[in-house]
Amino acid sequence: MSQLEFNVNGRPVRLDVPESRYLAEVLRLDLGLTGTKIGCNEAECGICTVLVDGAPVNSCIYPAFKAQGARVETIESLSADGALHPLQQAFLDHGATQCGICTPGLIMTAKALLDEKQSAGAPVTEAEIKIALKDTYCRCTGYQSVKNAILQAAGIESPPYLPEVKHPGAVIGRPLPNPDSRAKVMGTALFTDDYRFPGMVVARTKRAGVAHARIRSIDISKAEALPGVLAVLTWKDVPGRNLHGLVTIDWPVLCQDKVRYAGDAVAIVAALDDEAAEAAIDAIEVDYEPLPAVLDPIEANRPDAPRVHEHRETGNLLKHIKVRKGDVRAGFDEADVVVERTYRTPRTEHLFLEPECSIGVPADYDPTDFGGTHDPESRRGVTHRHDKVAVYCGSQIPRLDVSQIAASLALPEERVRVVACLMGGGFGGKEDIAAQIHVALLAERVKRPVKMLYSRQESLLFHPKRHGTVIRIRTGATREGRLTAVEAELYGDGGAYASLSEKVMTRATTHASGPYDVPHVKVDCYAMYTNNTPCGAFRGFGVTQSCFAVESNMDLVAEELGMDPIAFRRHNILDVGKTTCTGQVLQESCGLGECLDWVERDMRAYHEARGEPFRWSWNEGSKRYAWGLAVGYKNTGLGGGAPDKASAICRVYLDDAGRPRAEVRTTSAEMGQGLPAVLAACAAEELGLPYEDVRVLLGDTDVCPDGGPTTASRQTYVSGNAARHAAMQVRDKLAAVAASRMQAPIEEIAFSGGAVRHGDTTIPLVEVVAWASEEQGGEIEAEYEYWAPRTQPLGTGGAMHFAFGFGAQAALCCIDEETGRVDVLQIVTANDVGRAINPLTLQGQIDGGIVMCLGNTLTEHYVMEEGVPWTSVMARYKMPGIKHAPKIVSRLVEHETADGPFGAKGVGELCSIPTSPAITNAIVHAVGVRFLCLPVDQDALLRAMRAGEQEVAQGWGYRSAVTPLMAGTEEPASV
Amino acid sequence: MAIAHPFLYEKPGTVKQALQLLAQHGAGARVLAGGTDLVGQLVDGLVRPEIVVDLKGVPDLQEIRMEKDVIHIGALATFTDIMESPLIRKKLPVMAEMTEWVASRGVRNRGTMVGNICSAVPCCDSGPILLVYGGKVLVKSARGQRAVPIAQWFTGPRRTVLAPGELVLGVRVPDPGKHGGAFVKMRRYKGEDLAQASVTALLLAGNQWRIAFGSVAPTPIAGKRVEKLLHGKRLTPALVEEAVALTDQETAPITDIRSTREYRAHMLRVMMRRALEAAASRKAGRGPAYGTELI
Ligand code: FES
Ligand code: FES
Repeated sequence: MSQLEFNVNGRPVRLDVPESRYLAEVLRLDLGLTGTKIGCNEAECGICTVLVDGAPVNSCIYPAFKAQGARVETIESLSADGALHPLQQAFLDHGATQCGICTPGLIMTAKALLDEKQSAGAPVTEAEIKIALKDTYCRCTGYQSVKNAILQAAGIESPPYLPEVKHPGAVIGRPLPNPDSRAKVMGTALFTDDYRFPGMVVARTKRAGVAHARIRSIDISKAEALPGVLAVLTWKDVPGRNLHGLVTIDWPVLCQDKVRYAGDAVAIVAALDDEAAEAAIDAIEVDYEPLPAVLDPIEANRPDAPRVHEHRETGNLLKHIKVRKGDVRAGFDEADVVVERTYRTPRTEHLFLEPECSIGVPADYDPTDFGGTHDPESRRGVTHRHDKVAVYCGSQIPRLDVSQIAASLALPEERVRVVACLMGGGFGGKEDIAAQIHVALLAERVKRPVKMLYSRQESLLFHPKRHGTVIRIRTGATREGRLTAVEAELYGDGGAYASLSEKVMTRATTHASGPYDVPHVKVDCYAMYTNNTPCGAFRGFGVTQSCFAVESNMDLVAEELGMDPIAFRRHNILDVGKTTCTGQVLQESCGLGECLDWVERDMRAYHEARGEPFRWSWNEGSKRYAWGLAVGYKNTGLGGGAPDKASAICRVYLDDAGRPRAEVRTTSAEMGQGLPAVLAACAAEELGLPYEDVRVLLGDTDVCPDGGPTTASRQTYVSGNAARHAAMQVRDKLAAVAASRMQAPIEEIAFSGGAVRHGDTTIPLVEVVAWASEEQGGEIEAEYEYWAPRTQPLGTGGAMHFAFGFGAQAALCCIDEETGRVDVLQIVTANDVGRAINPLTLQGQIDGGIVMCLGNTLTEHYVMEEGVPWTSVMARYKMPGIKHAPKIVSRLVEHETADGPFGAKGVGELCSIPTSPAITNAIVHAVGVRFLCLPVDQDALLRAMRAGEQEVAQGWGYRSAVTPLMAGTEEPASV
Repeated sequence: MAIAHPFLYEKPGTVKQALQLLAQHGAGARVLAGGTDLVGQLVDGLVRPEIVVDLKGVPDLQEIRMEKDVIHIGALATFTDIMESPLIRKKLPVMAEMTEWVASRGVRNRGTMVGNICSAVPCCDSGPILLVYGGKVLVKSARGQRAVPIAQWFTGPRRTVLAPGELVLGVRVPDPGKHGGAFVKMRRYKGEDLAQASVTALLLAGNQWRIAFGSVAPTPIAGKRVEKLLHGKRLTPALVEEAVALTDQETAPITDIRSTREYRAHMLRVMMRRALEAAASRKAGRGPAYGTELI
């Protein structure tokens, strides 16, 4: 311990800390300044950036004592007096904060730049912003809004980029910041790791480290004996079901007889501090008998392959998924052109910038036992005794967490509470159980709150990824450009546990003929178990993969036919009255044609502005430029016959100042996508209240009704409807009271501008609320359970989904002939979203989805070597930074749905689907090389260009060349 | 991921005190200058010193100054200090250009050139720059002072001639006079940043060339064959191609998970061409501004 004396946010601070402490730890743990976030602890993500004597530093690796005597500024200093700093205001106005975990780092980095420019008296340029921010990452925004916000804060006119909305309502269709954005730009928003409970201890997990092995013995005696260690638990200590899972329950809470992937959990530890916990993990001795591992999804389907789960009748085959429509043989007979290729997509990582964190709080916890208080204002959370086990965590499916925790702890579900905290990004990666069960077990054992925070490295090792796939696809078309048949075979590497593999690969399968009207379709998909890291949900949910294959083939066919790629697609696209490959006849909301029109128009506009005719490709010096185009579609909602419902409560009340306000509650999760904004807008529109007067409370299973999983782009549609209908019921109650007091027929009562109107009479809402409360003897509240239109299972030919989003994208790429470097300069996109509820957060989804998929195309690959991730640190996973972010031109197409709220449908995944083939199609136009394998490897691209090869089948980071598919040989076992 | 093992932390006020601490603890002592490389190693558990000596309290060590015809860069001068120093931008523009490529801004603000050459990781970008400018490392111990030419400084990956008890006070670079140059580094694209190859070219008066490669061997290496080929000649397109062709003989890139040997070799040729052309045109007062991405 030594004394550290420095100035933090204008205040002198003196405290004793260990010499080896880092600045981020001192700020967060010792000073409680949790606005500074930690994403990696390896100087990679930049979200921990603070200013030391005005200069930005990565506080996660900045030794605290280096700041001795220095002036440190954190995000909390910017709005110390309550007023927002211009940067904070601009981030709010531009929607430049989504999940918000990166926001403090981005704002502080930008502040250093602006301060520097200001003292030099020079205006800031876009190029300087890109250089200054190149190492501060954001996974959500796609950077366009960030860049515009910074320009705005620097006094340079740059309004938020907003696509045009057809017919905005009072609130619906208006750009409004997410209700929680203010706290995020101020650094006061609380993520799980920001919560602290009196008496809280820490936890760690012992992971396998090997891909496949039998456990001979686990010896925890040395670990238990270490000072500071409170508990060491193994499978023996799981009182209930020692398995969890979202669809198939096959994932051990703690492994008993064998480990199936390197990230498997074998034991868990609770200890007084990190050092003790880590020492205990090291001291646990596990004796393994190594087993041969199966690491390739196609090899996994061989009869002699090692079994991942011994007792499964179908071996390593999790599910054989089939789509049958018409007669493909006849379809190919009709075709004049048939193209067949095999594509490969990599396993990729969500890289949400907030690693998983869970806090377990035991039943009967009393903070006063640990010197705490019952002060409910201290930190939102358990501040009173209650008889439930509570788990605080970032979760996309809080209600299902409750069931899974209860099952493993052998408790009735009523005895478990999950409080879903703000999430620093999810993208599908926070659907499976992480440490929720572990912390509940430990908390109950040690009778204290227990926090399990994963390091970035552990997060990379443990959580399910996007499926790596192998997709063979055959496309047939007539000379006139009509598609006749599509046949495809897909293999998905699901890794060691089922997670959502079956669902993800089903979506890949049912979307494998693209958004086209194809008379004859046959698709077979094999979702396989292997000893790799499990794969599960990831924005796009399998469709990102199959779209790459479909849209690559579409360009190949167009080329063989000598047709323009847009014209060829236009001949075949789905429309109202057309039938999907699963036999669903589309009834409504199918604006793909209009999307194509817009994208074509915007591509042409680019050239018109340069005073030249449109062209797909051109050269300038050693640079080759080209456009590439792709379209995509994505279901909204669970579909396939799964009951899809969400409940919400709406309540109207008078606040402390006596103003009428509304509250919406549901367990649906916000991970940065802007759900609270949607729910607030739906309620505000119906109640005629200002948007700001609706607050949204999400994720606490004690006070919120079940909104269902936050997945499948479903929340705007499903929970949006629940909130809207709940608000309508509240409105009806108020209208009834108003009607009787105003002696007017109820149907003539209108709500707008915070007032209730009948003809010329206007009564402030506050009065009506008071009347109603008086009459009903309490607050006016309604709960609504919304059921989405019924869907039918795959194979029945019925409507498998109640809505689809449609989109088109064109990518303008530049390829350096000498180096193989690919730059994406611009994306023009149009998306049919049904109806735009909030164009600000909607555009945020579009920008972010595109840039995320750009990473999927050009740089990202979670590489595994012999079942152990090579991608073990963030430094080995390259996600797009601000320098990669293209300019995005976006149009909205609003073909309303009959049942969605105000006509809306989902968009969260749609925007992250056509980007990859748009880029690879552009590369073909530019240099004549087609990538059958992602990510596009500049190394391989250059080799192919120089060798005059037209296709690249072997990509970077794959274990081996594509194993030939078994097509034509024996039919694999089916489920 | 905190540092798991505890260590003492000292912040001496003078060079003398610092040397005493180093003499006392010998190999158990580590010097913290910028803290980037050392801290990374501490986190990884690669080094487990008993004491960390932070030089920040020693005055003057941060200075960048002109001493007669030598530019002196103090041990505590950060990459940002170097990048922003008018003296460096004027006298050693290629060094300024290199600093703009150093990792992130947060790292530049803390990392020092001296720390970079002391950690001697193969990807150390300061090495090739000091090589072309003919820099020397100024080392002091209780026994006295010595200046080690940079060409003799590195002895292997993470190894230098620095002995226990010795302290680096700074680096010294002779004023090269009017010149042009370029630092070209392969851009990070996939996998990780480390070990990305670089080519540095410097054109001095009388058509003397200095060439260095980074991250193609365990230590930075000089491009002797190319230097000899170009010596005294005016750069022509044909000569550039000859030099480019020689690149293969100078370097032996490897294949690993990040990239292939062929690609690295090809890129080195492209980088050589662009570096030579930029150096020549910059010397002539034309060419792309220093700091412009050349690949
Ligand atoms: S750079 Fe510090 S947490 Fe990522
Ligand atoms: S808003 Fe940037 S990471 Fe989520």
